[in-house]
Amino acid sequence: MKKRIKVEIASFSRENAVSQKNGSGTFRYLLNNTDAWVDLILSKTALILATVIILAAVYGLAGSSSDLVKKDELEVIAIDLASNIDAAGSIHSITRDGVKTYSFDAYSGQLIDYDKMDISVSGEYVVCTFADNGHNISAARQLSYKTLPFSPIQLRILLNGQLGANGDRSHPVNSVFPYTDITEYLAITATEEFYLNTSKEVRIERASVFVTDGSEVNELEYVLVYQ
Amino acid sequence: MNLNMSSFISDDSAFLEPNNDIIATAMVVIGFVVFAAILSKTFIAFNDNSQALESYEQAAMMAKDIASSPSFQGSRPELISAEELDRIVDPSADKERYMFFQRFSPNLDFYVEAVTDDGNYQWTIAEGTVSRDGRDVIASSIPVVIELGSSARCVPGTITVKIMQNRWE
Repeated sequence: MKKRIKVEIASFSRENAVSQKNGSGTFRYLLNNTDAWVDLILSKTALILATVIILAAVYGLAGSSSDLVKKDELEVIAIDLASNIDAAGSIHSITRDGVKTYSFDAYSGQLIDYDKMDISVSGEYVVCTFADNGHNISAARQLSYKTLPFSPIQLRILLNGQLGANGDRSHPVNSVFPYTDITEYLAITATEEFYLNTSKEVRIERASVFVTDGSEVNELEYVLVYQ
Repeated sequence: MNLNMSSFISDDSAFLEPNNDIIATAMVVIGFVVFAAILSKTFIAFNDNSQALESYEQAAMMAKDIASSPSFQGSRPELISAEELDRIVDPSADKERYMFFQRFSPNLDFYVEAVTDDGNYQWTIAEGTVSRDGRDVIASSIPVVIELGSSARCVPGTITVKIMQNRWE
């Protein structure tokens, strides 16, 4: 038995030696080889590649889900502020003449760092933007009522400067129906976003701009948001 | 070649065996793709629903606001006056309608419907023409009591706010 194995090994190494001498022998050796190791290596490589791709996809999915959670938090912040502004604009708001205050501390975010977040109010939207490792996540919410990011004093100064009357009850602005000069001027000035300081409280109040066409006085209502 | 079941089972040439890991991988990949597709579909549906819910809340708030608006108030604060509704839907009452809608953001495309529950009376308050083709409509109604005429005949009715929104494409 031992002798036979020895003989076989000897013949194998002789064959090898011969084929190496011939030069093209390596190729023939590969062709004649029936161990299927090329097949094995190829399929294992494919398996490893597929595993890497699937793991990367799962990792990406998990990463994007944390982005989604952050976006949800941002949306909650934006909706909270926007609904407070809307509530001030509705008829039964208690802030008919008073000022309502809103502070960001009421909501304690878990993922959102207030220092890295920009929250702005314009005449049409509340926009929250959060800078997260180089890319921005934002959430926006439309406002239901006409909103101006000005303080009452700023509003009166603006109206006085542009239209010659500050629009309060005793100094109505002269304008004819449909008052496009006033509404468009205010809408255009309000498109500029007003960035809120999250450590200070936001003041929300209703303001009226009185307009007159000489015979009757009408009231245009706005919600003011300022700090 | 005889391809019946027994030859398939008793075949020991292992023509599938060397590739079974590739088949298994393919199944895992297909499974993962299907999983990701279902997940994203679910997320899109959830997002749509939460969007609709948000708009619904907005519509509900506006409906409540409009129902208590002093411009529609009847002889008592909780009544809606049909006369005032008639006045505001009148085609020549541009100014009244303007004053009614001026508080709301110009971005909102909406109209208000007031109907009595028996269906005899209906008022539609809209500023300009509101086109609704191909757009999502979000509506919210609240029950009100409408005071018909000066005889103080009161009937139940609803005020509906319909907000038109462009679809996400």
